[in-house]
Amino acid sequence: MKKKIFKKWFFLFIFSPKILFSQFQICFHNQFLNSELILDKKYAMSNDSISISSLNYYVSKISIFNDSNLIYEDRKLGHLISHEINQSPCIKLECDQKIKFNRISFNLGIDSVTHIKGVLGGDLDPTKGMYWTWNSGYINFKIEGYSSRSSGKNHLFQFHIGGYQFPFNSCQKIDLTLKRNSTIDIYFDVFNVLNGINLQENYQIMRPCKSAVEIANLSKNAFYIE
Amino acid sequence: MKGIYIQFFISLSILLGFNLYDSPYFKYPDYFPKPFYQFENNILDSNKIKLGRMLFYDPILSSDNTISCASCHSPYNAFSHSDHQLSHGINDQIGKRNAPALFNLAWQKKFMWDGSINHLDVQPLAPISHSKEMNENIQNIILKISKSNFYKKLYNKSFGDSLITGERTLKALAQFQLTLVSCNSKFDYVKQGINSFTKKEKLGYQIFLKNCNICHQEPLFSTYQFANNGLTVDSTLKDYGKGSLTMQSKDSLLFKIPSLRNLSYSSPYMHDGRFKTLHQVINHYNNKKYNHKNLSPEILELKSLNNNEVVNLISFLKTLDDSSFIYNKITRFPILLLSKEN
Ligand code: HEC
Ligand code: HEC
Repeated sequence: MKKKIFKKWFFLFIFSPKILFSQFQICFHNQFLNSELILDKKYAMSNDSISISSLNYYVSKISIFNDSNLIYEDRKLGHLISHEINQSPCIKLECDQKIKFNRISFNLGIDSVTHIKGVLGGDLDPTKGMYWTWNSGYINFKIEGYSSRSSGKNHLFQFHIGGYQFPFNSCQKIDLTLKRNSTIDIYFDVFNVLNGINLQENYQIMRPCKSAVEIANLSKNAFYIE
Repeated sequence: MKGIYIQFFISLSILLGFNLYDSPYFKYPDYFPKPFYQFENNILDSNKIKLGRMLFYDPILSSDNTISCASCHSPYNAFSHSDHQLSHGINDQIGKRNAPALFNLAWQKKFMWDGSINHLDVQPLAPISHSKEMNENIQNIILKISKSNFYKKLYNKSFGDSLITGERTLKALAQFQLTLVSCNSKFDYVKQGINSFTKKEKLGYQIFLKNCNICHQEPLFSTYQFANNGLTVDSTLKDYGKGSLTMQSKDSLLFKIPSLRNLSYSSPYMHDGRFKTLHQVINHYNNKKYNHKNLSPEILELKSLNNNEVVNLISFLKTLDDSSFIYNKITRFPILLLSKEN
């Protein structure tokens, strides 16, 4: 009898990952000019007045490194970061806290391989409003709002940035150096994106194209760590 | 030791099972190539196929509950739309293209005449959202279906709980459509040695092999690649096919090559339904007045056919009609749908 119990415990010890792993988090903080983004707030600037009505994007392929050694890879195919739903959403990962790491990389968007897998569930379910219906593909990054400079109807702008095929692949890899921490705080300043766009002329993108790739590039550089 | 053998056999059969995809719901002859659809991500199941069939025939997928997939893809037309050159959708609106026949979808990589859809699973999102087709959106469909006890039961049977999601709905629709395999035409029986061609059909087959097989490759009767077969652009539709999508001149006027199976049921022909009869189609290939930059070179090499040869070619094409596919009871309108109250 005793022997049996011992055996059971022995197996639990070896196979239960709960003992070795614990959760840790990556939190995204969407900003406008270095302070927390507030939807529909009018941001007055010297030559423009801007407000953001919605901000959504996909984060995928999160990888954690110690120098150049890959230590952890997120297996989920994508996480939807939606500012309407959660102002500073955190992605919980199961990872060994005792590991040393100093770098994180992730994709802003969904990569080409995932794009051709057919319909996917969870955050990637097409009901999330981040899937194009007339031309297969995820919208990697979606930002909509008002700018006094926009020549669009009612001065609105709408950027639906996607595209997974050459030459308009808009999925961007972001690589950031970290201070070792159990939560990773990543900042994304949408001002840095909009500031790079001539909103007067360019206020609407809703298909894979060259300007979509340019905006994806701007977005890539709007992520930082404090 | 014995345990290891058993484990080995189980894993071997799983491996084999994945390679030679075998399901009672998806059978095809050994001279067909391997299907392209990755069934391991959406394993066929009789309940899911049944659910997909209900959804396919149910107008609940359109905003005013008038149009179902079958409105444009009727089983009696090999799941295409007869009488209409261009698709006919909600409020009698006319679309831009001819509704193609649906069969042997598991062998196709890209969908739509321009290849805009990259996977069968996500295809329904296009007609559902199209303002001239079903004018609905998937979020609202999920809300509508979630209120239906009829569907709750079917989702429960298929997925083990009654949660209704976009993923489940689309996978079920794909499952039903994957079962639309057409492989019982006279051609197939000849191939299997059960039947034989008449003299005319045999001569027609030779003409076909020389001229058409390069694009409409047997046994599926399409390579499912994109090509330009020399049609002139319709000046009102201005449809440049793949080029309208990619905006690249090398893709201008390329259209997906359709299969030549079931032509007797699927008239009118071509992406804009411009031809009503096979004679008109062959006349097109016979007249050599093309001047497109992207014209596929094979078209220039087509032999001019005399009247006899045209007749023979058409009699061969008719051997590709699969009446058992058209009159298959398991794929037609499900009577159970009539018992749906909410
Ligand atoms: C109003 C008519 C209409 C309705 C309703 C409709 N379709 Fe279609 N379908 C079309 C047309 C037209 C095309 C070709 C579109 C194109 O090439 O742009 C098409 C293309 C397709 C294709 C691609 C076939 C190929 O060979 O590439 C599939 C699969 C399909 N439809 C399935 C469906 C399903 C499933 C539904 C219901 C959710 C549906 N259709 C509803 C008209 C319709
Ligand atoms: C270069 C490749 C090519 C060759 C060779 C070719 N076709 Fe086609 N065929 C196509 C393409 C592409 C289409 C669709 C064109 C469109 O709708 O714009 C098509 C459409 C058709 C259709 C209409 C089918 C439907 O469902 O709408 C028929 C019938 C047809 N071809 C028969 C033939 C025959 C018979 C031959 C031989 C004499 C032939 N084709 C040779 C590429 C080819």
